[in-house]
Amino acid sequence: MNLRSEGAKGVALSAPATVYVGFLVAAPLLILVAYSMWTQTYVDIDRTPTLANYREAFTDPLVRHLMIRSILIAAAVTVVTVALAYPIAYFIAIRAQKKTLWLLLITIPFWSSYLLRVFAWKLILGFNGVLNSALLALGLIDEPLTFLLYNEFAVVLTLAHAWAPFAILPIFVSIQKIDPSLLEAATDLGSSRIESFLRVTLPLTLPGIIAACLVIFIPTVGDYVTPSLVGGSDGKMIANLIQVQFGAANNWPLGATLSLLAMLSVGFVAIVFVLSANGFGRRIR
Amino acid sequence: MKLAFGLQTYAFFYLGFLYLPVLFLPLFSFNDGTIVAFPIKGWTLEWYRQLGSQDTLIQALVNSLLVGAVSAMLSTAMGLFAARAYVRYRFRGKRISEGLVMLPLVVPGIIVASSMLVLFISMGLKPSLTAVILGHTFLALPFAVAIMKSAFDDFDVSLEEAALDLGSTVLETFRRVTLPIVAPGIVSSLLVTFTVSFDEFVLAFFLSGNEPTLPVYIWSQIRFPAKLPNTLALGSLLLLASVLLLVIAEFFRRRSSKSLV
Amino acid sequence: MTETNIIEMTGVEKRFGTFTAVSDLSLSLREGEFFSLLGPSGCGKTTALRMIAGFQEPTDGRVTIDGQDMQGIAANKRPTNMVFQSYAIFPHLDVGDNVAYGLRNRGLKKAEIENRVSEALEMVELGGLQRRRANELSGGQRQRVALARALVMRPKVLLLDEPLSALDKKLREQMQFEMRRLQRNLGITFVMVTHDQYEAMTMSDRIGVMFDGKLVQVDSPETLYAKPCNREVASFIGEMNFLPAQVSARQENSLTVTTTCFENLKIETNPNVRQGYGDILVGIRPEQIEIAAKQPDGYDATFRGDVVNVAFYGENVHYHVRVEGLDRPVSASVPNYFHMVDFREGDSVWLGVQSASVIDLGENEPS
Repeated sequence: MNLRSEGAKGVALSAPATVYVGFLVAAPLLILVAYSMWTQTYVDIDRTPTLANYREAFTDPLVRHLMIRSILIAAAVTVVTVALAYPIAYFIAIRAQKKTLWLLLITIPFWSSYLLRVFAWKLILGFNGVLNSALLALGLIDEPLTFLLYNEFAVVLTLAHAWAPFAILPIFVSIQKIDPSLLEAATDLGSSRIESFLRVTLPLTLPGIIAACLVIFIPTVGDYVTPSLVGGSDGKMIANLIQVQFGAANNWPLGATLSLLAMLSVGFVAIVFVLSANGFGRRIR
Repeated sequence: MKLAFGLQTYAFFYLGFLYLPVLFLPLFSFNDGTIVAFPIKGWTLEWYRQLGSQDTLIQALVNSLLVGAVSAMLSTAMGLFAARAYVRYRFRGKRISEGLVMLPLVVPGIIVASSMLVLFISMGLKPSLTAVILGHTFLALPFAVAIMKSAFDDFDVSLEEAALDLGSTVLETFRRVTLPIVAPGIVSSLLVTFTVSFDEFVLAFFLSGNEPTLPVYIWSQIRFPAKLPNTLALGSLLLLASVLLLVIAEFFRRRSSKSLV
Repeated sequence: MTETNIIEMTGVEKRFGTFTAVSDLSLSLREGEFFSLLGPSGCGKTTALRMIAGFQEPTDGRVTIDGQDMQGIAANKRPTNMVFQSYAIFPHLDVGDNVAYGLRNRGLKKAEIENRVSEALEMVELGGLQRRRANELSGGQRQRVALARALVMRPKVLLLDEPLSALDKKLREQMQFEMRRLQRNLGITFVMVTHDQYEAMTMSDRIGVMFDGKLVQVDSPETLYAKPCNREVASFIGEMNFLPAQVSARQENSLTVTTTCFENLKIETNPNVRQGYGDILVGIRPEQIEIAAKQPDGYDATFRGDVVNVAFYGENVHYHVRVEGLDRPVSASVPNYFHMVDFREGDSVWLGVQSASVIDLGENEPS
């Protein structure tokens, strides 16, 4: 290796990964922007720049409806997942004897195919599905429950299941990092258990909570598989509409426009969330 | 004490919530009936036996293995070098670079899929296994970087310096000292990135064209109720394979961090 | 200093499984004194402190603070506050909010909190630094914040767990004086845990020495140094030359002893040691041994030896002198001024001691 300085070695070694990811993030983005200003005419593409796609996206109530629903569902998934995960992360970090075993147990189901896990929920929640048949067999219900599948509830439940480890891990790390003497200091200064949790543990784990929220919220807004399989018509999300544009409807420019808009809305919501969460954190004293 | 007990109880319920859905697939794959519901009619291996005679399934499996193997090697190779740079060197743009390679973890799947489709078409690359490999390498890279970073973190730099001091060239040092020590990390990264690719659906759905990978094949089968038992059997095998791969990867990862103690 | 006892520990014991961290500890702390628990790491001193603070419950025995039994009273309800070894400064709060933390638990009015916080910060010479972030503080400043945060609570007893161990030497010495001054001005009882004998001696009114979970001796620094109760304490606090001695006569307050170095020397009995009937061990501090080229005048005992090692410490020079009949060389330390004494390895020298410098350490138990 004839590279002289440390810096040059570092740049050279990290270059393939950086360039690869950089290219596959930047180039598609630019082309999406270009496509979003073109027009689909049957099988051909008219490359005259126009904002017609954006106009269509903004005026179409279906687009607005799906976008808002996607964000609301993603927000609900985030809240449910993080709220369910926090006590687990706390338990593993503070109480559990075998931390690595617990972490491994939590992550194993996540390594099975996402598609299959969603599929499993479809089978469980269905009209003639596992849950209904089990409840019927046990005599707890007289006829199958219909509110289980093909609605927002099913989507939120399935996604909260799928994203669990992503919420647990960052929160676990942030709890693990807390110096135990900080909690003792809080107790020593007169805080009860709940007070020291609210005034010390919670603000110190806020970065972990924020990370967990982002890692769940951002991909969830654009999720395709779950709404397709368990969402029914009430649970469809923006990704389904985008897929239709690239598939059956064969309107790539509109699909590109919707992708870009979805990305922008996600980014906007995420930034507002991070700012307000941090602001909230600073007010805890 | 009451709180601790409550937390533990909750933790076990939570584990149940995580595992039960996944365990229903294997359970019903042995069910001697085509409807997935209780009570179980009887036990059979018929659904597994039928899998062997489905040519399109075999072809999809071969495609998935190929895509997985190539993406695993590409992403692990890039991850290996990048992780070494992040752990060993200080350089300008390091933080940006480190953040950038983690980006694929958080970009919504549909956006990656649609934008890559558009990009590849514009570059003249038709949807194909090559396109899927490029996409999966992108998605798997953060995993490779993270695993290799922890492997290098545990690696004592003075070992390399000792090898150089004893007269090895830089390349020899890498081959005889660095590589053997981080080898468990590399194996672990290969297994994990392979699993990421093997299980991935949305990108493959957009980019595979008429060469489906296994998840894309399963997607096409899910719509047919008659095929349901076969799909369950296939899914169960996939679950088993993923979990086995992960456990082996974890075994290697632990060996890499223990080897230096 | 009054003679009221602010803390009483009676027969306190702490076991972790089969390991006994503290055994049968009985200790009375006087109101307004600066008390140190001194001992090597793992001797149980921190456990003892944490039992006073309420972070650990005694397995057996009783702790009372200001006459009140602390059994079952949680740490957040005790009239003690603690300065932690790591300082435990809340990283998400600034200096002012750190100090105000405990006051907010008490639900005081905002204006009063502000007053007391700024008063406490003045006290530790951090006046006006309320809005400084925790991560912008130096080690010494963190220590002061930790002190202010505990003192602002006006505790009956302030507990300090190795409060100076994270600081470098210069700063440590400065803080020793400041903490001493603060304690005197406030009149609050300070209980400090430390493994550093010099720290304990410079700061404390009284020191409790602990070994292996047992409290061995409680005395003022001067008494501990002059009349240690056994060989362990003698060698833990300062340096000591040990000589086995035969007792030829026992009087009311004195013993006549003979060692390899001197014969029939009359020394004072040590009230802190158990008196037996057999041979005893005596100790001599290195700085109390004179070293000279010729036989020195005016000493109660003189003997010869050969210099085997010279160690230069700056303010002192240590000579290791081999004396015929002793397994270990005798160590003598001489202040370094004007090069009045200057010996080299191999020189033949005379050593001299006064009988008052020879300390009776009680029965010679084989160690």
